[in-house]
Amino acid sequence: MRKCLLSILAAIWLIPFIMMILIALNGQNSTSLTKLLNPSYFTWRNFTDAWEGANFASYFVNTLIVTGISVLLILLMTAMAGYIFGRFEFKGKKALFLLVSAAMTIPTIFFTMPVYQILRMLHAESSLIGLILAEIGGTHVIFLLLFMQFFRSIPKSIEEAAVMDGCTPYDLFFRVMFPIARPVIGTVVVTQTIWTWNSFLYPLILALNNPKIRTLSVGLYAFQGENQIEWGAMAAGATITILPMIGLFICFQRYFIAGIEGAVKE
Amino acid sequence: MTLIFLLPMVVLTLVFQIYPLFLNLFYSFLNWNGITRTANFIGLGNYKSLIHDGLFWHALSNSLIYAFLATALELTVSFLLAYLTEYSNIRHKGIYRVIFILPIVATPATIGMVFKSMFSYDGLINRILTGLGGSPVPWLSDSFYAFVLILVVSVWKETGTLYIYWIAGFQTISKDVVEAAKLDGAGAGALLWEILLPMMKPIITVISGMSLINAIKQFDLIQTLTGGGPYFATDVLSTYIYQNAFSSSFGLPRFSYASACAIFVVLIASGLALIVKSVQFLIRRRQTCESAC
Repeated sequence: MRKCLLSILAAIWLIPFIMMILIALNGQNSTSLTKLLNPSYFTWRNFTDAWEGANFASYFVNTLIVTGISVLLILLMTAMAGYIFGRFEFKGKKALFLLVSAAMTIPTIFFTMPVYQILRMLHAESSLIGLILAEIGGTHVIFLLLFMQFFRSIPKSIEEAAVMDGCTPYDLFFRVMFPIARPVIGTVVVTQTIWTWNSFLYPLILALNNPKIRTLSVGLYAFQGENQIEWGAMAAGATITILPMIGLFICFQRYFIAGIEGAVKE
Repeated sequence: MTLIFLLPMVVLTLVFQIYPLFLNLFYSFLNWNGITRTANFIGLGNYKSLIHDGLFWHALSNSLIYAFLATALELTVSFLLAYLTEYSNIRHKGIYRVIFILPIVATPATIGMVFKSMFSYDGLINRILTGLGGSPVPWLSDSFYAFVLILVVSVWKETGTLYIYWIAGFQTISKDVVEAAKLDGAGAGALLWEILLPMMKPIITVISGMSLINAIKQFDLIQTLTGGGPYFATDVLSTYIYQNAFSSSFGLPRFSYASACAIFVVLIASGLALIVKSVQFLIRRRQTCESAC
């Protein structure tokens, strides 16, 4: 009985994904099941419409740029800070840690007004650079903690051996410590890629005056408002947006789950 | 080296988190649309109008109702899903885990689009309802049903996160305990209520607090599903602030007014976080007392 219930629930959980794909592959611009399940309406045209006609190609490139650069910078930043917090004692360490984690419970919406004005002062309020700055400017305490715990657990002997071999402190980090943090690196890269890819609030606000910098998530949202309802092309756009993340998640679920679990450990 | 390695994070924190705190406070004393070069200083004027702003109080009460209902529903559903996955001898558990976690990686705009198609007037859900002999429901144009729809989608979307925590929790319970209970003749119900749930207590307090705070922050789902509509009915604090500062729902942007709202929200969110933390602390203390006795 439990098996039965579980299978039904799993099927319900999948319905939205199935509907999305059915609408995207159907030429009738419809959400009615009788039309969606009729194989003679099958078409790939919605995908070319979305990709070329509705600018999803450019949204895709923007998303790729923002996600790639943000994830790389967040990774380096949290790894370096985590290394220092995890392995060194210095004056004011506690205060500094409190500072970088202070804003953790404050909703992002709170920061949008001042951050928008700060980016305006930098003349970056409607550019991809501004969007990247806004994305990396958020709190990344979870990843900082993961790196701290990892670096703290590495035995002193490795460090001593490297120093004996003539490693400078920078070599020690970039050639020895950072490479062995591979499990944490995987977690940060996979989790942050999914978060930045799906990020909605800052891309929405910064693209208000410049549609050229729209990411997939905002492009799809704007598409719903701008046109008469084109279900087929919209669902195709949605599929283009979501598919890379589903692939990433299925291939690297271990890392993603570790990232989510990191949030409760505090 | 210490300094250089900490610099990027500290500078970004100062510029994009600490400075904005003061900037927002400063804006909240102005009468400013966010665009012009000059603005008038009006002191507490924004806060005074906030107190008389019915739409603001409506958004605040929606936020609180949403946060508590969504948290309760998500906790229950995710526990049920995790319990069923872990304690039924189904094959391919991995596939079920993927399915229930999958909605977390879905882009908000995608979710908005797909659920709008399913809940449109002649969409899948209404077809099922009429097929069962009911009448179609105006999901998106009725204020009550729009709120229900948001809750349904929230449960679908956010359950995955809690599901991960429950699964992790179940895996800390040793199989020996479960086997011993079964040998002693405990049925499925007794196992659930008298062994599994009590052992999960510490997890429950942590994750319910966390999902409550996350629900208060919710913006993406509501903006993409209803945009706060119909007629502000499903507005929560974050969508209300967004509309005031950046969208044309009220004519000219009321940028500094939005800042005043945001200051209010932070006070509420911090208050809530404080309550959650102290409740967690009290529960933990009671538990250590109980185990000590």
